[in-house]
Amino acid sequence: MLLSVRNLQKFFGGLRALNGVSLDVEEETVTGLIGPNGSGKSTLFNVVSGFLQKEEGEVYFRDERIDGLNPDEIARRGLIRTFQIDQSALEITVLENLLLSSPNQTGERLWRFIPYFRQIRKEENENLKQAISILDLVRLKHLANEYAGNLSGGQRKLLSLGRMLMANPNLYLLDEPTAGVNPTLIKDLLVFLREEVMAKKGSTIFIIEHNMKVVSDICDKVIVLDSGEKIAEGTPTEIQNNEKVLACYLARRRTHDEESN
Amino acid sequence: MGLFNFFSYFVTITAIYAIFALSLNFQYGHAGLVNFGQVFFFCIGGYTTAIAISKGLHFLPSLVLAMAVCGFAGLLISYTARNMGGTYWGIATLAVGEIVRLIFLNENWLAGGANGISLKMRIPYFEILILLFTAMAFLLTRMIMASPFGRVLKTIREGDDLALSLGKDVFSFKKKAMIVGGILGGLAGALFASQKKFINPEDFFPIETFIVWAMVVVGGKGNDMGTLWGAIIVQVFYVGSRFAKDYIPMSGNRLAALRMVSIGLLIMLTMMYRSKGLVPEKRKMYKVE
Repeated sequence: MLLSVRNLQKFFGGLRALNGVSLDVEEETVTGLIGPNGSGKSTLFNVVSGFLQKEEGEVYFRDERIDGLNPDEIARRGLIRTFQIDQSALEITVLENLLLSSPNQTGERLWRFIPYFRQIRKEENENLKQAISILDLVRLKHLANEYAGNLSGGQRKLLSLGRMLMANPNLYLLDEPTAGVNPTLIKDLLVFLREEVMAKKGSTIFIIEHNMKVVSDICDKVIVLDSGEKIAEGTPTEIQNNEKVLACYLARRRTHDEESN
Repeated sequence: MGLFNFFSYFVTITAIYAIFALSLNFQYGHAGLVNFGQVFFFCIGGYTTAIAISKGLHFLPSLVLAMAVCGFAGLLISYTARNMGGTYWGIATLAVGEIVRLIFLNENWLAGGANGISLKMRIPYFEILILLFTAMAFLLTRMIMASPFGRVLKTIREGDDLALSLGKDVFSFKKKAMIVGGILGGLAGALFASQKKFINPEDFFPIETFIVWAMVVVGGKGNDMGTLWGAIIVQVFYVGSRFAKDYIPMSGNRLAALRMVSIGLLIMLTMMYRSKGLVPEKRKMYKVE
């Protein structure tokens, strides 16, 4: 099991954002995480990636315990996440955003930049080639030297996906990667994620997604959260016919309708 | 003062402040560390050199010592940045700068207290040496910022989360930014003391920090070339106001007070019409075929 979460609890004051969640993500699969707004999906990602500290429970990544580690340590172990609200570095260019994402760069050690000058230059050239091919893939090549701050919301989602591909982790945690991206491109990218990233590199994808069409297209397994608890787990077809799931989505919609009336 | 002497004074003092401004630009302009206590390094660098020379050390070794002490001081201060957000940390650094000045003012045994300390020495080719150091400081910051290390610093400037999510040890990068900034600030302080040949705590009021901030902001934060221009422009205002008394019918005291007003005005005008500074930061362009 690549990622195991056991009895995870996270409270914000009196709000139980995660209330004893346990789940597993198997290697070389695409696992979807769905649930109504405020059900705890992003909180789960934040706790797993180390950006929030849990109250109770354990998180195991490649059979090692990672809860309590700093986010950068977790990332260096090969678990990289994107953010629901874009976190691109806006004052550097699109291309630099990608170069930044490459792991284990010699030139990131300050005291090495003179003695390892040649090696750094060689690494930079290799990373540059890779970065440009990734930009081509996410359709941002024509904007390579543009400030990331000048991109639209959807383009920034593509950029964050590009950064992920550059970072090449074992486990991708994608928090709503398709919001604001044009539908045909989404389909291409998700097919790419499944066929190239997963099949060839052996990476695993754990994805928060609201679009059920996307979920049923690419996920092997879907986990459903509601009010901080796991209410269902299964294949996309099973989930779509699960009464509990339907009830939680429909109940929300009904109360919402009543409120708006 | 003859015209040549004055000119050489102007060039050296500008070059010294340019190093000082580069040190702030490294921390604030490149790494986003809002440091309101930059005078801290200037003060410690100056006093370290003065004390070392009074104990019989030569000029260059005492300069290296000042840089080492300030690098270490930068490392110590960076630990306070670990759990403090930008503005709060800025206020803390302001306090640290004042604390150090007050220590030198009140601990008479250390460096003469309010009476100050003199540096008795003659340094051959001092002016050329200062210009060399300025050029080296400039090249060093340029090289660091062109490296992958510099790229991570520029990312951290906008916030920790992205860098953390990509596995960068953000705190370690901030520590190194504080060390490099400290070393440069210490160098500036040491050269300042060596040029002035006498320092006392009055040389290290918080207003010194304000002046280097003016240089960085007017010149263009995040651009080392802009910082050099900022240093020159602010120094022209600062030193040039001495000549103003020949042309403006006003008492010398009043003109000296107007000095700061003019620099404040300069900052305001820059902010209103060139908010990114006179020489804004440039992006790094790559060839994409």
